[in-house]
Amino acid sequence: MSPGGAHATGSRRHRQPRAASGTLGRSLAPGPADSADSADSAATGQPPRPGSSRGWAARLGPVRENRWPLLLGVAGTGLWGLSLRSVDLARMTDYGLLPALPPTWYLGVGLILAGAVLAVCRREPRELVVALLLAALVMALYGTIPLVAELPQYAWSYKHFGVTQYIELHGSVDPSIDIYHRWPGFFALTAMFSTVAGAPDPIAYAAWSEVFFTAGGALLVAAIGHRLLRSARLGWLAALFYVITNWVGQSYFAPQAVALLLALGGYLLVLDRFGRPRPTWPLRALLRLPQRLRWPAARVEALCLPGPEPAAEAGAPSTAPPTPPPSTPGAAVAPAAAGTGTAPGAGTAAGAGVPRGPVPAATTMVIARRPAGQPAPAAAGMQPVSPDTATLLITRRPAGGQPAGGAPQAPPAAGGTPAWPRGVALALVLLTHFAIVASHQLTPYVVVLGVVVMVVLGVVRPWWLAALLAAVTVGYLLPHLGYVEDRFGVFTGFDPLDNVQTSGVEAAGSPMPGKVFFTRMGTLLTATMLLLGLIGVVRGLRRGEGNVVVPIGFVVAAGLPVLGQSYGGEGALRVVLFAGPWLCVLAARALAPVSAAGWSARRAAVVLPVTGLVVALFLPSFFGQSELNIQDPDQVAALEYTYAHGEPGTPLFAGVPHIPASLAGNYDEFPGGVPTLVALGLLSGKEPTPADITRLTQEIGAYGEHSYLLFSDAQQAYLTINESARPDALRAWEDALLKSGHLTLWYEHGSARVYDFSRSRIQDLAEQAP
Amino acid sequence: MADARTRILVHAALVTVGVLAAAFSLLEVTGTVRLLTTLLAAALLPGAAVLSRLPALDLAAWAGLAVAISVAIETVLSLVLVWTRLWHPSALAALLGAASVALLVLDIRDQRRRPAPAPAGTAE
Repeated sequence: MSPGGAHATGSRRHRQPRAASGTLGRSLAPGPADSADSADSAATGQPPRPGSSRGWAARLGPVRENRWPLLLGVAGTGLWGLSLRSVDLARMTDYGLLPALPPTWYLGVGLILAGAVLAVCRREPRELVVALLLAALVMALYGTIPLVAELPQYAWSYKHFGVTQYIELHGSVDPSIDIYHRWPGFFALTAMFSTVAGAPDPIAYAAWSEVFFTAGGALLVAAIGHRLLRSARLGWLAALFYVITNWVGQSYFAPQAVALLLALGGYLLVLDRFGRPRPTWPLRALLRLPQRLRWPAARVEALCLPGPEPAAEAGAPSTAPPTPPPSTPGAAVAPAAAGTGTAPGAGTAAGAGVPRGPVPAATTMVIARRPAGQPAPAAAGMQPVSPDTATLLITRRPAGGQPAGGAPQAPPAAGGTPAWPRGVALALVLLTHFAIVASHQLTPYVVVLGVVVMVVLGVVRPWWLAALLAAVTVGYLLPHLGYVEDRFGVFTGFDPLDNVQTSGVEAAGSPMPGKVFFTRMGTLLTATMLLLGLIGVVRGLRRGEGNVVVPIGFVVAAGLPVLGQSYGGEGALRVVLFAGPWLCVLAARALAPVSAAGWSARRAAVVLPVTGLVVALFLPSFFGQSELNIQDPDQVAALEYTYAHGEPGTPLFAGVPHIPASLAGNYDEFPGGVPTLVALGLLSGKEPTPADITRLTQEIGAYGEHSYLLFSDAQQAYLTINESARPDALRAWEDALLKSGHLTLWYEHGSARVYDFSRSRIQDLAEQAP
Repeated sequence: MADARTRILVHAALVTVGVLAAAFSLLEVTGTVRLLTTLLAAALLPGAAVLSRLPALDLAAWAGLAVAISVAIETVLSLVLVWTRLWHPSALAALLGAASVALLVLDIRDQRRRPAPAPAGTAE
């Protein structure tokens, strides 16, 4: 399925030598020729040498070529796997999981990273090798916790288990329960999966959500990067950055994770199928800015790819326009018999080279014919987008200019690759967008804003695509508008600086140093990616690559929602989340060498330190809260018992927030939300006094006749880390309440205890008091 | 996936995964094997079936879109079940799986019927 697949068939006629750096090499499928042949022929335009024998030596050729990346990957994966036996969760501190990880874990991850970087930087990278090493890296970074912890992490994911199981129980939703039932897409999906997979409780598989969603997102980022940067290699490098920067922690079992995955798929469909740049005046103005710095005029190229070269068919006539010989790279070509088309560059927007006006169907694009017998050259700057629209993408590069990654992208196959039927492309875009709209409240608006920005810039056409997506988004909101306005507010304020204030560690009372550290590392990682993105923009524009404005546009779009929404104090994190993939694309551009010859194993000496730095910032950012995120099995068991055997309608209290509550399918039978002693302002570093206990019991009694109180060692850990409370602070309050006679032990499991609190018992005691 | 051989292999593997997932479901097998098989089938089968009817894509785009389109199809269809209160997820999964397998089998057949590539050295 890789672009080089046709080579495996042994065909020479339609074989096109691949640019050394513009595309990835063949897959590990056996091929007749060494990849070096392709590189040489790409450079010289000469046909490759006859292939070596088809024996096992030839079949193992690609493996031999990639032996170092593969060895590093295998060694790293092995080390990582072995290290898991030495992970001791009891050694977690306020620095999260990091102190609990053995040195072999870090070494394993480092080796996998080195292997992946080496695989990407090789002169002839192998797509499958890169993909495998990236998969190993995803597993090492995001599969560690599922393998060492008993339960899925993140307390707030457990309420998603409850909604999923509700749907399994009832086969429907009840919009009066909570907002999840009004945006039930993700939960309907997981309920169906749970049923079909024979795992009714998502707790059985939810821990692996981050592996799944990160891997899926990385593939889509690779494809998007390929199209924007005109280089499959840089696409995979962008995917590598995506894997090592996904620290925000939104890829867990949650609607946001699936919405982001679908959004990336939607972006790819829109850019690939509707990305036919005709720069508008805002884009033209932007593209003229570099010229003030005496940089080359930037060009925006179409964003679709012709797809891999199809296998040549005997006797099949060539239906695609022949490509210009390598001696005239980037030669301007003109559409013939277009009627309404114009010559490239004439009358078109600067940097577009795209004929104005509609082009009749089946227009034959005449370009310089190559002499008979001359093989298809590597250098070309054009490719037909689709036979029906026949929009010709023309690139006139400055002398010596090269697209990102080196030599120009290989031209389309001699047979050409027909575009998707437009209706199908539109249907798929609408399908993915509707799935997003029905699953998550914020993501569809980010997607729509991104497409609008692209339409405004003239990168995506037609304009009504954005209108259609907006109509679907707003149309879904309208029936729920009153509900959202009452409980959350459609807009929380129009001060973006206020909306980006987080409710994280800084909001905690007295966080321990580890908490401050992980927060700073997350900020530093984001700043690093912004810097790399800026470098990528500068380097791209200096080479006349106008396509870099596309990720800029999406980064801007990702920030627009904070103009009116804080999203519950997570506004800043959501901006980072949605801007992240685009910054990864720009970061890949930042690390591309000046010319194709720059790609070699030695290039890893530049790429590896940068990615190593990013990983060094990622690890504390991602694992820095693990001691709180990894759930206590005893506490979860206590909660499961409470929902299974507790009296419906009884409020549940806990000492601290972030309790994995609402985890059962009957969670709707209990009051929503878990009041906490911290929120009541009752927990402090001081010893509880009788007056404190009286006040506490009155506060709890105000919620009803009976309540359940949950205490656990896990809650004490939260207090210690976030409030710098002494190790027995919560226990002191628990003991004081017990001594007062207000509580009866109802359930105990390991380090977790659930007490029954009765208001009438308070009154009885009060009456008995002197 | 322009290379016919790779395409056939991948689609055949997906068909196998789909059949296995169905078998595990019918036999009410429990455990990790069924979970993994169902996950693979759910994540790739419907999307790959749709993409099999469309022109070829590069590896990353094919794999990424296969997952995204699969998730989108299943999300929308499961929403239909929920909103209509006709909650029959197994039946829906069986129908979707069968349709996907059928499309992939058709593609395998089409790929196998394609003429063999021209031998080396043939003039263009």
